[in-house]
Amino acid sequence: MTSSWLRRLDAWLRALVPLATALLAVVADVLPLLHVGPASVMPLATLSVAFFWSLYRPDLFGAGAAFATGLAHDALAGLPLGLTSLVLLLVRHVMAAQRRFFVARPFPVIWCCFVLLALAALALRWALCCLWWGRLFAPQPLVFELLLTLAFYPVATLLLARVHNWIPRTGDAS
Amino acid sequence: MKLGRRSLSRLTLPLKALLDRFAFAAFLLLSLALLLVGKADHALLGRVGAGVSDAMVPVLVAVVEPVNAARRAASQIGRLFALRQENAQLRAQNQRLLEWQDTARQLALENGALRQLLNLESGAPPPIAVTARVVADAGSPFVHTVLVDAGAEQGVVKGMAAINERGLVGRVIEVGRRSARVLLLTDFNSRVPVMVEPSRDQAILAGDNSREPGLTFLPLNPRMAVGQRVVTSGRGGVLPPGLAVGRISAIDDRKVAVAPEVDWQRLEYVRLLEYSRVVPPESLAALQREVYGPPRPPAAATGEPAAQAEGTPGTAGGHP
Repeated sequence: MTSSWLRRLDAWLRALVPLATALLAVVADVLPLLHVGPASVMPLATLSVAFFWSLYRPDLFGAGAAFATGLAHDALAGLPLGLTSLVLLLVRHVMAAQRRFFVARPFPVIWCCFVLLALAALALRWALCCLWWGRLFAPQPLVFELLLTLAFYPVATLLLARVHNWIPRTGDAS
Repeated sequence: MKLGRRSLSRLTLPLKALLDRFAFAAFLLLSLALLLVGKADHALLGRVGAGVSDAMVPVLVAVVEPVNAARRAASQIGRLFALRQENAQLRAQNQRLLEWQDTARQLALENGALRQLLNLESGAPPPIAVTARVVADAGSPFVHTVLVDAGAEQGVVKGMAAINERGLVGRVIEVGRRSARVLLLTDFNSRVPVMVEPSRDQAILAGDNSREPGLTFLPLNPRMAVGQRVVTSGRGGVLPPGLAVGRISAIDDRKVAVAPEVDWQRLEYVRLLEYSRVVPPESLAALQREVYGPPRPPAAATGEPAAQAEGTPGTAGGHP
């Protein structure tokens, strides 16, 4: 009785791992690491993590998780609430729909897919910010952000692949 | 048993897909609604954002401390190599500063005597209300704000000036229970009334999301030169006067750029200054009620005078 209950708790906690890593990525994104304020362009770790889980475990990283991750990011970064949620929801939806094509492909193919999706996601975020504040933001920092995010993705994959091994491959996602 | 489970999953799979699609649509609409509501009523969602920040602050504090320690250690290792050179520089600087100290003492005495002669209020700096740790950065090219780990519980109120040992950092724009958001000088929403030091020309320092904000609303025939110090003027009463802001770094046809004094790479702590000479707009209504009593219902007034009374504040509001 106790062991089955513990097993259920264990499975439940493991199922929360994708959301927990996404929230950790949010914290990493807003940490005042090297610079603060001007010129503090950092890779968007949240996007990499959301992409990874949407591709490999969309059953555990649902629309609610994507929304919560985005909301936490917006609140901590002082961005309009709903901005990153919207972008992450779309990323999650696109990847969950295309995962049959991508899931068994070699890493370079997935990385290329990430390049396109990150470009679209960051461009959408930029466009929404321009609309929300009614001013045109300089696109240069965005290019740096994109390049850093692309460079960060292999590192994120390496780490998350290890984390992925902790989660039992049950259900419809395997 | 196996067959049963398979048929069950065959049944639940489409249902799951349907639910997934429904959840996606619902959260997408919710995100859009949040964006729209946030645009229309910033204060409402500001509270939601502050609540989330409050909840995350303990985690951020726990992570920031070791990160800062590592960063300090790394910079110390880097400095070890330049120790001899730095020592010589510091000796020379110390010599210069000692000379300045003498001058400053004399000037302070003279200033005090003259103030006493004129019966002028002493220009003591405003007291420090709170010292807070910077726990989060915006991390995006759109806004330049930082989150600090002190909020309403520590006595932080909206509008406080945030400074560090170099000078003005920004001011508090949003206050939660345990966290507050500081708008940095460089953000495109930041406007600070300043004064160029030798000429005492007044201007507004307007952030533009670049490293160096520019001076706007310059007086006619401004007397400015590259290298001159810029300090807060205290106009408008939001920020105390005389806080160091930066130095003029470039002057051309389009922009008078000011390089802020603050070292953005080492912004670990900020001090929030107490300063409440001007009543914040939020508490103006309460103050009016206290002085003039409860507002009279508009139905009590009749005809033309009522229309006039309604018209006046509108005109006044148009030209603050």
